[in-house]
Amino acid sequence: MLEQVVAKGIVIGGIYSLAAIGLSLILGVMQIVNLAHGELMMLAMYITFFLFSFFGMPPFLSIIFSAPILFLLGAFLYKIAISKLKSEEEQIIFMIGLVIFLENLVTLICSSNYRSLTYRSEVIKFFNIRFTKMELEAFVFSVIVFIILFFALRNTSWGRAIRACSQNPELSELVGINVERIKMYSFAIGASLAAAAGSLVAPIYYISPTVGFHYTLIGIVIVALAGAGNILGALFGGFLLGVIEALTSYYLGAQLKDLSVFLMFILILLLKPRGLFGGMEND
Amino acid sequence: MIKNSFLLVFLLLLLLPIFISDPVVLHILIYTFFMAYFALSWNVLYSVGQISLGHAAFFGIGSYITVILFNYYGITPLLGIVISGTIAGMLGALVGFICFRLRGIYFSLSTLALAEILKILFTNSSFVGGATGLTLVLPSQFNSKIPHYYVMLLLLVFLILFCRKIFNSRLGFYFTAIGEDEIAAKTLGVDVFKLKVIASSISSFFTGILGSFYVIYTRFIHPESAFGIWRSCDPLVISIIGGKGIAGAILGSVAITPLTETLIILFGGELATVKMVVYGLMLMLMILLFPGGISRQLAKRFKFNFQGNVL
Repeated sequence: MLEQVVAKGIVIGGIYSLAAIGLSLILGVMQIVNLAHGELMMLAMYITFFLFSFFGMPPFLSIIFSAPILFLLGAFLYKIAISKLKSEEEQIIFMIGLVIFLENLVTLICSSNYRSLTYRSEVIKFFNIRFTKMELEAFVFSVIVFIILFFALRNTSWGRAIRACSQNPELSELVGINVERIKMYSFAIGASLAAAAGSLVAPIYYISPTVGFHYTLIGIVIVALAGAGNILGALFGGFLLGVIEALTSYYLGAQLKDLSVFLMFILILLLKPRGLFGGMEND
Repeated sequence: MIKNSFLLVFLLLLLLPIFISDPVVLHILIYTFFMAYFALSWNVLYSVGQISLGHAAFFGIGSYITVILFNYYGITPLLGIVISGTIAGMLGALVGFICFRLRGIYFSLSTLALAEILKILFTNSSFVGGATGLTLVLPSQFNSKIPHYYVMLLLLVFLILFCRKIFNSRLGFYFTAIGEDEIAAKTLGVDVFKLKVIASSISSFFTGILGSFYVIYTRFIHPESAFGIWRSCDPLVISIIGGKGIAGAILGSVAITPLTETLIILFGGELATVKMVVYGLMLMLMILLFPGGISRQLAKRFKFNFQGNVL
């Protein structure tokens, strides 16, 4: 049974790490903790849910819609608001406003009912471990998105520009990188990664307007474990967190699942303010 | 002049229940004082530059302790208020001791996480009634709204006078110094950590008292109304809309609370969601368009300095 729980944790962890990489990208380039990250995921979950229930679109294909929509939303938010905020205090307050706004707007439109999406629940056996088809697909998709992102950041010109900006914005500006534009892109890419994670997690966990905060905290715990801007670290952090969460909900009950995340959040920030994998920052 | 008009308004408010005994009007007034008080006690922590998202924790602890003391041990709520405040203040010092190692947004998030932890613990503990919560069964002489009106008014006035005293003392100057530039304050020899813990315990002491008043007023508390995230957002929204300091808390509450409460009474609980949507929108717009809130706008318009007089 233990290996079953661990395997489930790794499946979820892969998806968490996608969300966390988005958060990490935004934090690295803009020095902003995107408090609304979980809410962006929640938006993507609803997009996925409605596309599935009205058009029967498979959850993983709906990334094609949810990611661009949130990319645009992210770029829009950055352009009209986030780029204009001056101090950290203003950023925090704006982000809290955004969280409250999104959460309650969705409640108003879609009601606060819990929804869930059942898709491909046939079971496959795999060395004594049972997966549903859907979980396997979600895992494969998250690994694919991760690999694309990893090589895009490493090898393309905009990927290098993003990494340069997160290392040293002044020098990047000096060598001719348009830092403002890169910031906008990284916020938008971060948002679309949240969308990918949201679309993938939608068929696994329930959907409600208030799930966002939980995912934001998970993302922050992972980023804190890995250190800002560390993408490989975020992947392993995601696995670790997924497994810990699965173990607590198996052994201590599902209500205490959230509790374990909150406690971990506080403990990690207190004990390791620079991250467990902090040494290998920025590749 | 400010002092005189403050006194005049206070006298008017003292006499008001003689002329108006409509429970709805009184309810709205009580809530306006309530929010101003909440925002002001939150402001004590804001004055050292910390944005708490977890004041629901102190509020909820205050309410729960009052009910537990009365229901299980028969201790009168009037004494319960003081005990609740003290325990909330101790919790505030403890939270400060843990969380002030973190800076900026991480502090805010850790306070939020603490409130959520308390919510989960209280939801899963049968001693405090689990998810259904606890009811405070008081004798019927507390049924009228007028005594609550006076208690809340006096609590608010006491807090205003206390904050005036604090903000104009050496302690208050330390707070302001830390709030404006923490590193500069530290280099000048201010013990930042200790002062932040003091600010946190003052702030949570008064918030605990408010929680206690809340449960005496509504007679009922459950984990969502005690520790819900929206509870922590109330003082934040009021302070951002009104502005920093005493004037800000009062202006913010007067500007917002009567409006939202009237709408909720007219249209029912459905509107709580609409209220939160508007809150969110207002937070974003205020910080983008009018940072500093109403009090700074008024000060600019009338070339008037709230800081020197009221704060």
